Amino acid sequence: VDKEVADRSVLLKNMLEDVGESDKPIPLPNVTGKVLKKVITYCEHHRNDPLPQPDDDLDDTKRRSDDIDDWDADFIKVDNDQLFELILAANYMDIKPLLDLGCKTVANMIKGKTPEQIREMFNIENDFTPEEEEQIRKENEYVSLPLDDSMMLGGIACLLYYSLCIANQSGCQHYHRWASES
Amino acid sequence: MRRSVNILHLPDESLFRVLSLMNCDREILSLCLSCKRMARFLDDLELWKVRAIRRGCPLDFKELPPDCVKETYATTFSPNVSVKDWRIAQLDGYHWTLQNDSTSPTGKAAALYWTDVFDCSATLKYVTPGAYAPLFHVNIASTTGRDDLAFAAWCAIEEEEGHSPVAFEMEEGTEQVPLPNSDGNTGPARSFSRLLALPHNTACLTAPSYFVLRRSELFPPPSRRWTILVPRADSSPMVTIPEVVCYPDGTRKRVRHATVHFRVCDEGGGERTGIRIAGVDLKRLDDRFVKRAAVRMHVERDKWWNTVPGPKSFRDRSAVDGYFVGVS
Repeated sequence: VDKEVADRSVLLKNMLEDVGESDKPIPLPNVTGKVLKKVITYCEHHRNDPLPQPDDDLDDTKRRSDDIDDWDADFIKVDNDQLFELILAANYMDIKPLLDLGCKTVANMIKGKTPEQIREMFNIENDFTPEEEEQIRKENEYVSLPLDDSMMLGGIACLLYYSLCIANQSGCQHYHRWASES
Repeated sequence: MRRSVNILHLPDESLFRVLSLMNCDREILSLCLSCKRMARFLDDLELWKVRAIRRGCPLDFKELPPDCVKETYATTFSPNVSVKDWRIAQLDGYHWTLQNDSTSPTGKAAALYWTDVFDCSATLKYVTPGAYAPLFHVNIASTTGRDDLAFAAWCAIEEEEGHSPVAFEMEEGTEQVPLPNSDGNTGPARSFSRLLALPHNTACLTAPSYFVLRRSELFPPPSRRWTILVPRADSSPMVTIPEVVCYPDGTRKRVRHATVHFRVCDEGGGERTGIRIAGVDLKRLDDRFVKRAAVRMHVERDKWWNTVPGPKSFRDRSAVDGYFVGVS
């Protein structure tokens, strides 16, 4: 692998600086061959990109989950196992853009999902009692409605309107009362 | 046998990264409700600091004492405005009074005894892109009034948020853009700029969410019940904050957040009595609804554009497309 490609990894860059020019292989015990091959493909494609800056973390344009270019989107189309292995490898090898790509992909997968759907998708065991789950929902109400309630709102807004129309075809209300009481 | 790796194999710093990259808080809550390990992140103050910075909040969350971070975040980004924070014309204890009310959804109620200047408004800052339904909490009891009562909500992007209002001068100053009227049609009677009363250096990008209570509907049986009023889905758009703004010169700029304005006003200015207001909520709608709202707005926008005078560049369809969530 070219040094320029290896330098995309902060871990390898530091190691190479420490050991100097050498033909000896660098051990990467936490990364399988298959995943390493994929990581190298990524680094080769991005070999000329500017290196990430510390302030990038708060740059909103670089930190949105839907901001993924076409090549990256195609590259990251892998199964869940490989996606998480890539994230683990990027984290271990300290390749920030690849780590972000993996994390953005996970964030996108979660978009629009309920907690139950997320558990199913990622094979997560629900270790909450219903009371504990309810308690957390209550304590964090301010982070907006849980998705299922929100979806219900969208559904109700439409359904109620249509039901009003059907029930009152001679003169639809100019507004609808969504619920009888707040 | 091949080891199966799932999200819980990721170290905390990677999970934190996933959470900080999510586009809305609602998604964070969904992920954190999946298991106890994820739920721990809800108490990670650093997460809320990062979220606040990403949402463009000018408050310096880094300087806040730890026990204030979550509360300040909640207050700053709360999706509702209690009536105590509304601007109400003639709130002087004689025309309108502000009361504690245990039956009110917000714990407060502004009660109207009598006014001939019915004009109430509120604003909600730092609202992230998406489609929202405005939910007005009101109690209409023994109301009299000569004219319709108009409810409107719209989003505005302000200069301080990095957008150039100059590019929107056409829209800001446009007179007589027809809004959908209460029959679900568009009509020239309502003036866009008069109703919205946009302050200087703001630009309203998407169609306002708008509905009216007709005079005939303002005489229900006396009741102390609080009612939620929302715009009817077919005749008014929901409040839509675009992800991207497309300027007439073709440049595109991402929108981090916008200010949503609410207004309840008397269309004619006659005497009115007997209304109580508790506040307004902004409820985010799910993605399917966003797309439908965007498509509907797109169609309506086309109708509008045929009636709006102005330079061709601003009437160009490609410039319009970029305004809407889900259509780009």
